[in-house]
Amino acid sequence: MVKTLKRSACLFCSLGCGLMFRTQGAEVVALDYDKENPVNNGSLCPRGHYNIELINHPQRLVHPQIKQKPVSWDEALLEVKRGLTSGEAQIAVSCLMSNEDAYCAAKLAQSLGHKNIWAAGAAADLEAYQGLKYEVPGAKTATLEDIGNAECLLIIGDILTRSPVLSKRINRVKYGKRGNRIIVIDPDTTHTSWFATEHLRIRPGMEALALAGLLKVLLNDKEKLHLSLDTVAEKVGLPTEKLLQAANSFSAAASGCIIFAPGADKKRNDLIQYFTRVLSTTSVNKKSITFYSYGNCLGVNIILDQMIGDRPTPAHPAENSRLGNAAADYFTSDSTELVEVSADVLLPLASHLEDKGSFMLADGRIESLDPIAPRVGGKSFREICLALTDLKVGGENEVLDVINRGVPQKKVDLAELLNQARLIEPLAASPREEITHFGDNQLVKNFFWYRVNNG
Amino acid sequence: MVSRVYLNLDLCCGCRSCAAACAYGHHLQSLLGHNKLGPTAEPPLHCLHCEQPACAAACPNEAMQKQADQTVQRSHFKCVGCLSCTVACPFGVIQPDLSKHITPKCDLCLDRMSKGEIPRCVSACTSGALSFAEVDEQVADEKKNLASVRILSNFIGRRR
Repeated sequence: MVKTLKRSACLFCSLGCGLMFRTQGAEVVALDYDKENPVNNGSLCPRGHYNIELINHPQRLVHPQIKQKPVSWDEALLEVKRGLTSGEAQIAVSCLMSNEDAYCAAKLAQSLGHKNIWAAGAAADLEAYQGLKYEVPGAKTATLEDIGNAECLLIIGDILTRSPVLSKRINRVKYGKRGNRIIVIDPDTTHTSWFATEHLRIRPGMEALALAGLLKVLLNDKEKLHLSLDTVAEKVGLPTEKLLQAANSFSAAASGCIIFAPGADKKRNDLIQYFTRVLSTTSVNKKSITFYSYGNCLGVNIILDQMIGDRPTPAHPAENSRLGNAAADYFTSDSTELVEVSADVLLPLASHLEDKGSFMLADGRIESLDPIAPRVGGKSFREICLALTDLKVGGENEVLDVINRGVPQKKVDLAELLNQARLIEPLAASPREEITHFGDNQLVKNFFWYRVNNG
Repeated sequence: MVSRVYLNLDLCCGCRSCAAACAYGHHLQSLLGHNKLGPTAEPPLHCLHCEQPACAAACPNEAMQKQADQTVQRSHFKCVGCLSCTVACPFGVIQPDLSKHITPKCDLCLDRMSKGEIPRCVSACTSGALSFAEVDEQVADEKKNLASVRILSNFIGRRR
């Protein structure tokens, strides 16, 4: 049998690294590194190595289940149809689904005649997405090249825990040119703050107010935030000079990039998202980019917004994130998570490696993936929707048209949102411990001491 | 000329993708040692494949042996799990797996090396901290470049 290499992409975060699979006949044998991919040049984070389990995990769901008993497809679909047509139905679309699947889900909701459809993913991601809707004239999304070529990076949150593959680009900024700055806003010492030239250690949860403080310096307008910079600095837990210095070094750099990692440890992710975009317009050649923790968070949300419009938000945000995690784990058929939500009917889905689909990633590029393996037993969401109702689904271009319309914008008042940031109270002290390169490890310390004294 | 894996601590972001790649390629058993510097800070410790390996000298059953291609390899069949090499290694690289009663040891990805590819940990490294280079070349680089003053394994490599 001849072994062939097939290219695909990892969707465990919205960076979208490339990777390869070694296939033998129809079987996927091994995972390999895609050195020619411009996104990651072959590197892969620990999570990325689990991509192969999307195909050949031993516990994958193969048959549809009703109340945890295997049934035939017809029986299960009939049950779903009955559930959908009787009374109020809510549809949750996982943020790991392809654009085509999300489009079909929106069509399904339209044909059922209600608007109870929402994207399920990490709650912080969805909150941050709301910030993209606030209109900022002149704001630009950075590409991945911009990050590597910037002279100043402003990083909010621990991006390297989410997408470690970015560290190559962050290193290129840090060691590239003398005078390059990396400003990290994070309450903890994290993997990201190791690389910081200026680490703003704020109180936990105060990221939004810290950014509002930076905006106050750069916009140079006393009316917009009814707080003096000193009060902001005191509330955030930083000396005023440090805020001033960070703002100045950011605006003075010839080119800059703001990287934001939404997280549950931050308050008001939408405000942070909005402020990063406003910050990028305050001086020339600055751009902003947000990395979500689910691959297709942008694409799914844009499709639902464009096709359904104003939707009721789910009643319980906690339920949202919990359901979202269950939906996101569909591919490995991690039944424990689904049993926890006590699903009546379980339908196995084809993973994105077994199905054709397009995905919209953090920098706005659209990645189209071809299937690399035959399906184990699942159907794609598209086929399930078509089996449920007679949908009229257009070609691929129709999905692209919807995506290209982009995030719907609404006008907001900057001053009002700045004052909302004022009301944020800090969280309790963060439980994370200090992380250092050397720490208490005597072995490494000895090496370093020896090198310095004898080198 | 022999090639070895080098770690630049300045670039390492501690994401442990090297360990994941290693485990992926070696039956879910990572062969890398790790410095436990904190809850999440664990830069990798690579086997240096010494010229006079202490682990091979300590091994009672000749399981650990210097090969003709200048690497130190552990025989799966001869190893009795006595942990002598763990104690003998001057760099603390060999860390025992107490559940399987063996001492996992880096083999420089023999299967990939035979095809002319670089080891898995270096391929997967997200930050460019790990490099696979010829031993003497790295030493020359280090003299020129002060930024690489913290290349730990480089310093060890020079004094072998």
